[in-house]
Amino acid sequence: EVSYCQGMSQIAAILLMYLNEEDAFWALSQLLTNAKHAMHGFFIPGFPKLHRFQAHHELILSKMLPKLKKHLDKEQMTTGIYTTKWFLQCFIDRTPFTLTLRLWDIYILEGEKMLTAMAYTTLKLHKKRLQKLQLEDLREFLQEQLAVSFFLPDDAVIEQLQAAMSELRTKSDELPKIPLGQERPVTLLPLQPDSPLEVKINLQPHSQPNTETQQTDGVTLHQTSSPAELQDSRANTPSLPSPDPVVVHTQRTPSPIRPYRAPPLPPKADKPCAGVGLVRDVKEPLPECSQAEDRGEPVSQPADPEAKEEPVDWPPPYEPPALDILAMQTEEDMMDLPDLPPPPLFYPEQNDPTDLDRVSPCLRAGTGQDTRRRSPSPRSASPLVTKMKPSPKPPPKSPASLYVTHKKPLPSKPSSPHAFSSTSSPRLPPPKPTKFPVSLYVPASVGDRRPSNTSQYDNLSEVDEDDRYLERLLGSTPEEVPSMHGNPLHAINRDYDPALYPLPPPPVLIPPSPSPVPPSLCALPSLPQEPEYEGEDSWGGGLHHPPSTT
Amino acid sequence: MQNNHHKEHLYKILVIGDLGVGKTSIIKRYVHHNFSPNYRATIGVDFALKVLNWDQETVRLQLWDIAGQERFGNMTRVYYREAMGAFIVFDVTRPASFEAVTKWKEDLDSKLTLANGKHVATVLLANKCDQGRDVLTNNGIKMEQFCQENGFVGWYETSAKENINIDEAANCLVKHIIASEKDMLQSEVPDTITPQLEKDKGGTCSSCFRAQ
Repeated sequence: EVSYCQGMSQIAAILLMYLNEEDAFWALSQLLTNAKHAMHGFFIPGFPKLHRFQAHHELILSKMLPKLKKHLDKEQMTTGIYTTKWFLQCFIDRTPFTLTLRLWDIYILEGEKMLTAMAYTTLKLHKKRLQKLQLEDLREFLQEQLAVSFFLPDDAVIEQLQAAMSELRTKSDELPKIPLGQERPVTLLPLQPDSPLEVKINLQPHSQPNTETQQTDGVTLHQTSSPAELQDSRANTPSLPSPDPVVVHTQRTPSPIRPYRAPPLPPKADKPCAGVGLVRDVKEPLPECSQAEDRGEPVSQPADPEAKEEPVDWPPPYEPPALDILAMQTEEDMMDLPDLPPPPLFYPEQNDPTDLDRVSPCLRAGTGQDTRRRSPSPRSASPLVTKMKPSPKPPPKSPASLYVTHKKPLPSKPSSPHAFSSTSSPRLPPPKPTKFPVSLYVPASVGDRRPSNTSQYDNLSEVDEDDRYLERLLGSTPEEVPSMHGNPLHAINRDYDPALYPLPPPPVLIPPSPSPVPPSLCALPSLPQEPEYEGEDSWGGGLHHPPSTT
Repeated sequence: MQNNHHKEHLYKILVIGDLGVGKTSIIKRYVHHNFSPNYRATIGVDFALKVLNWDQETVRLQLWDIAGQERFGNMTRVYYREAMGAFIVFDVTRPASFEAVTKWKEDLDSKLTLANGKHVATVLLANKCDQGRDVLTNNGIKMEQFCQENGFVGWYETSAKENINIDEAANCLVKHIIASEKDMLQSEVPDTITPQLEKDKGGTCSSCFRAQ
């Protein structure tokens, strides 16, 4: 139904940088079909979802940035021109590569809602500049300048994005509330009849309808896989890697979902993280109202029917009231570290050891790369982080919250416990967790950006110059650049080596960290955080420079 | 800016044609004076600005790079609006892309007409001529005729890679755009009446009959 569409290849390329072919295939498959991302609607003929998102983007602009919108309209800079790649490819080629990767982390974790939020954030951050530009310069700035340099450290952008996500959430503009994909109805009918277990699964994730509609052939496989992925995603893990449909199926079918559902409301009270996860679930369901209705879930039910009946009304249709509020509050706390954490979480959630093994290398590699990038640059850049955030609070909370989320879902599931325990203890050996947290804070982007950008945009001489300039400012090491240049894969692999990570951070970083990081978090998380903090201090210098230059 | 005797013209020019024929490369060569052998699909639309000095006047060409994949068709037709000229590009190494030229031309003409009801000036580009010109030599004789029959104001063998004929093709198009603009200005006054009448007649009659 989707078939090849221009724009998919670059998504596949990014996946292939971190996953083997099979994993990348399933990752792309999930991105297209699961409820959280449903990119299927972006690429099918007519681009219904793209148009919906663009229309919603305009709504957000008219509400939140009316002046800028007037200017853009005057210059005839339509959303169709500059947001197409934003939405279709989640900012590939439109942001510096390091930032692109982080945005993709968030996208995988949070789903499509981040797209509108990031589109809004981008315009908001550069509002003043944009208002002075004419059409051609607007294009140049939005399509090329921002891809070279975002004029802000990645961390700062991510923070703004988080703020935007919560801001939009409160205003109920976060997402177009129209159902996703076009084929929901068809899928829904078949699903219910299948088996009670499967149906339940569907209810929670909402992924099923999309997947089913898209892929009628392997209904069972997809269904099972999608829910599993959804679960993973909830836990902040990137669902992409779900490699083995079969394995997943067996695992998921046991009706782990059931437990999830029930817990959602109560969990909030327990911890913010849990609440957030639940909220997300609820929101996701919107597209497929019918399923939700059938299940009669407390939260989703009321909202879903509305959405179905009035797909056009975005804001009112479906907002899980209590959950939303909780989510907002909780999410803010959580948000600080969302992107990086997801990978580690992923491992624990996966039940299958085989899956973990397979996937983990890839993920690790990905994370490893991040960490590596960050690790070198962090020291120099660390001050930024401190500046940007009230450093002490966010870091501790986020790790803790993440853990909570993971744990919660797992216990509820019958099958999960084994996987969880096995995965968590063996899987998450100290090095990994450290990497993630470290990577998050560190604006590794500085070093990375240059290389990635240069490689990507061979034709742009300006880019190189800019990059070098920034590098000088930020004090990134030259080594980073070459590694990135050559082969992303190779670089990743190198970075990935576990040996590398542990070595650099521990000696210097450890001492400072203890104070900021609460002991309660975890043995593993604490280690990573420490390095980050240090990095933050160093970063401050780096940050200052970029703003001044801009 | 227009207050100066130095007059400025802004022309919107479409660059259309099948996927992978080199539309983006042609624009890149023309505007940025470089070429990349790597293929990068155009998602949706993009545009670039080229400034020319034309008879002591400044001509700004807004070159609209339209995704060639058919799926983007409906999305990109929006950007045909207000265009004054067009390049239709095909790949001399791929006969299918040449066969699609008429489709693109018909599509263009059906969705875009000047204020005076005429079609926009369109130049046909036989791109990748550095790769061999078998397709062309086979219909070489027909090309002039083909252009006349299909309403192209001219055609060029081009190579974005070797920078062949791209400036010439652009100049040709600009020349015709300026000519058609003058034509429009002259016919501006009567223009308001005639086309509307004709359109009304055609529309009501045919639709009524068909409806019944």
